Amino acid sequence: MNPKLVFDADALSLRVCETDKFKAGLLSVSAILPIDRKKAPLITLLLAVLRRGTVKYPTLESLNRRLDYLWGAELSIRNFYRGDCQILGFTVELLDSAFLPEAEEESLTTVLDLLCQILFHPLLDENGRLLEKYVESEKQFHCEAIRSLKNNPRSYASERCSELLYRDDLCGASSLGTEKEIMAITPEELTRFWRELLASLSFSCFYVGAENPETLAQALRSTLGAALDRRELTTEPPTAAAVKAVRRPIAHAAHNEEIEAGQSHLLLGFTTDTVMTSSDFYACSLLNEMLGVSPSSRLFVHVREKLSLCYHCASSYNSFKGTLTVHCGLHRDNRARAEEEIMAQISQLADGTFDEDELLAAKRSLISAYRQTEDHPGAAESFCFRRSLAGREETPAEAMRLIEAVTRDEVIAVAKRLTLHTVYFLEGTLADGGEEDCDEND
Amino acid sequence: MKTTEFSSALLREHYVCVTHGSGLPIYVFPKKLTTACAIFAVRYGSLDCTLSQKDGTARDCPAGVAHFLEHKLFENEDGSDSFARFSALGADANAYTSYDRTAYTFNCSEHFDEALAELLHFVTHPHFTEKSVRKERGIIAEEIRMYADNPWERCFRNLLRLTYRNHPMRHDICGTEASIQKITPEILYSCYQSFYTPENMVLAVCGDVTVEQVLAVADRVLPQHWGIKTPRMLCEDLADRIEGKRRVTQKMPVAKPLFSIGVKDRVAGLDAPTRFRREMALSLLCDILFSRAGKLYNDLFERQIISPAFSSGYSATDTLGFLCISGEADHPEEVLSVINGYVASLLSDGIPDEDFERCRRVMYADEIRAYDSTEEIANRLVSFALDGIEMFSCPSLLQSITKSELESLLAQIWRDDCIAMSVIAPQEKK
Repeated sequence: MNPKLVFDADALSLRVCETDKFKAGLLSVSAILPIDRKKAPLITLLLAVLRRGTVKYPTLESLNRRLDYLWGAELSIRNFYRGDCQILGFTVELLDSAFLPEAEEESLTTVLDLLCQILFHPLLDENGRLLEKYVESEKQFHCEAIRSLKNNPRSYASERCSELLYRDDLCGASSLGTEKEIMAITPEELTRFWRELLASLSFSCFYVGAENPETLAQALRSTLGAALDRRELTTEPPTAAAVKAVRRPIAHAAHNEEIEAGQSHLLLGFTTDTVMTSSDFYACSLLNEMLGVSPSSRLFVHVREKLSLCYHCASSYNSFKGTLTVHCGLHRDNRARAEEEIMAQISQLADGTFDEDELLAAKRSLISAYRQTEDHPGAAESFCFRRSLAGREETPAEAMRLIEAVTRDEVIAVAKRLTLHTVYFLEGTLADGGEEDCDEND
Repeated sequence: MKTTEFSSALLREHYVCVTHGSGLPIYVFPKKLTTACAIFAVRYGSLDCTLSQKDGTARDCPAGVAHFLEHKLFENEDGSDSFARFSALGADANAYTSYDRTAYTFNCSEHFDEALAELLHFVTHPHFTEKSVRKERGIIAEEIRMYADNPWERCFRNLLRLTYRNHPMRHDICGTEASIQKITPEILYSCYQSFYTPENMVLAVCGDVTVEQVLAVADRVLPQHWGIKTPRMLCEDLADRIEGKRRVTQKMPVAKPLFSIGVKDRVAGLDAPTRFRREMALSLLCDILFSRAGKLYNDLFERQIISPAFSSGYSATDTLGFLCISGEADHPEEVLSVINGYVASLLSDGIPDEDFERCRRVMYADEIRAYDSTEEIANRLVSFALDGIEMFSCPSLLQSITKSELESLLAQIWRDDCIAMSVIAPQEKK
């Protein structure tokens, strides 16, 4: 399923995978910006405010009702980091008209119009400012989200390790910011930011589904394209480079923190010097697969199954930043044993203590994952978007051929380069799970 | 072999059900996608904690056996691990245990026959030893801790404990750190023999495969029979209301209070189609009452009584039903009071036509979209097979549900003595 470029105008482009395999189509609309420590939280807040109400649909209720009526059309905001870039935009999921039980108005154009409403026509007050009521309440929710980060120790540990691992990189900046920064934002400032942001954005769109590409192109041009053309000022879109490897450290840094929880979390962050555009990218992907992706990986088999130290122990590879992170949820008393075993498994891979079968299983698993991208619109979109962002234009079929060709020595060479950068330990201080500390009342 | 074919003109899909010689029902749903998914499931979950013995007596098992068994079944007699075998085939295997079922599954894009053979083999060939059971306790204890540290999980579990005082629904699916210490190979074998029988199981396959292909593997791998057919001891929830206190609070290091409101429903005694219709109707009602496009959510949200995170849902097993609403709020009692007021207004004025139509459309779309993934289809086949419902009947069943039916259901379930609330409150600052 290879995407076809349907059009590529200055501020708007469209790629389409036309297929009738699915009963619902997926459209993503993305703008790419370099991460800016100050702007990242502003973008997060702004998107939440814009989603609250527009001139045509002044409340969240009216916006959501409109979407529900279009046979459960889903319009979600996208706001995430990929490497050193912040991606903002929308995804739209729409039921294919062939499966609607009754004739329906033009759903696609309606949803795209709604998207334009959100971006270009939010509800403003008489002074042309974003509605104070929406700004203030979203600031409150935003601050709550900052305060709630610790609610889930597992995701909090992961977040903290990323902060430390990327402390010298753009993506080390929080997309939420601090409470103080958020509370200081005024409706005027946010409105000014919205206008500046709009003036510089360009969008790339990606669609998987049965809609005719020309019909879709026409709908996009007449809605989003027209709105972009009408912009008052246009500055050059900022250039953004998503791929930039974290530098190998001279010595690793260790950070300990306590939390009132039953389980502790040990995270080890490594640099690999290998990013998506590197020639040994797939060797590194295979190393990650062998180390800690599947239930037959080293970490699962040794740290979990053989030593019974944990339930969860896995690795993940960030190919935009060239880092590999191991995350293990365990009892605090088992920290040293787990750390030792994780490092021992990495050493074994670097020494070449693995057979061809292990490498073959990793290849099969990774190839299978790439092959399956064509079965999921979201996975197909993600594959194309990530490759395009990194500047590595290839199809899943080409990726699979390259994986097949990776040699054992290439995997060993990557494993040898793994350098410990950050050790983060979130120590759970509860002796038991705190199961029985409930108060029942009427 | 008895073969039945089902097709849907609306969905442009079809599937076949065959009863294998062993008694195992096999469902095959051909779908031209790259990924094939197979699920081998048993009607045995955390609620099935009483064994019926040969002499007619009942035997209580420690909480968490079904889940423990799920973990241990991957281990083979020769010391090998089925996960590794799946991995060598490029197949991605997994398993899960719920209140009323355990499922073993894999996804693959090649070597389907070999992967299916592995699935059918390891699930029908249990092998447990003292050593491996002892080792598994450490792993499951960490799984228990992981869930216990999640305040949303904790909130929901406290709610179930409050709602079901004398029913295994109050126990966690994984059991507790204490209960898993009591699980032995003998208990695992006894439970396996009693529940893992062909008649109590189902195999569902979805992908670019044929019925003949699946049956050929089943014939080659499946034993003539396995397990010992034993009467199932259904654990009925006899209480038609929540007994005792209906509020529970626990302190955890959260930034803002979290709440789960539960509405206990009684489905015991209802036949499968009636129960399923009720489940569908109550899911629709849930959406009408609590969706993000609804009046109630937006009233709570605009007045900042709740935070954006807010969810609701209805679920049922063959013995009980449960509606749950969860969110974050400084004053959870105020949320419940606003909800009660809204329900009262719907009971007196009726459900607005627009809400009914809107939510019916959303649910219809969800139904159709479910047929875009082989994994989701296989999971649905299992659920519907275990519930005794024909899967393609859903869209027309949904169209047949009326507004007045929902109004009378609302009046039936929304009773003060069937509503409980669990809160996770922030700890005082030290």
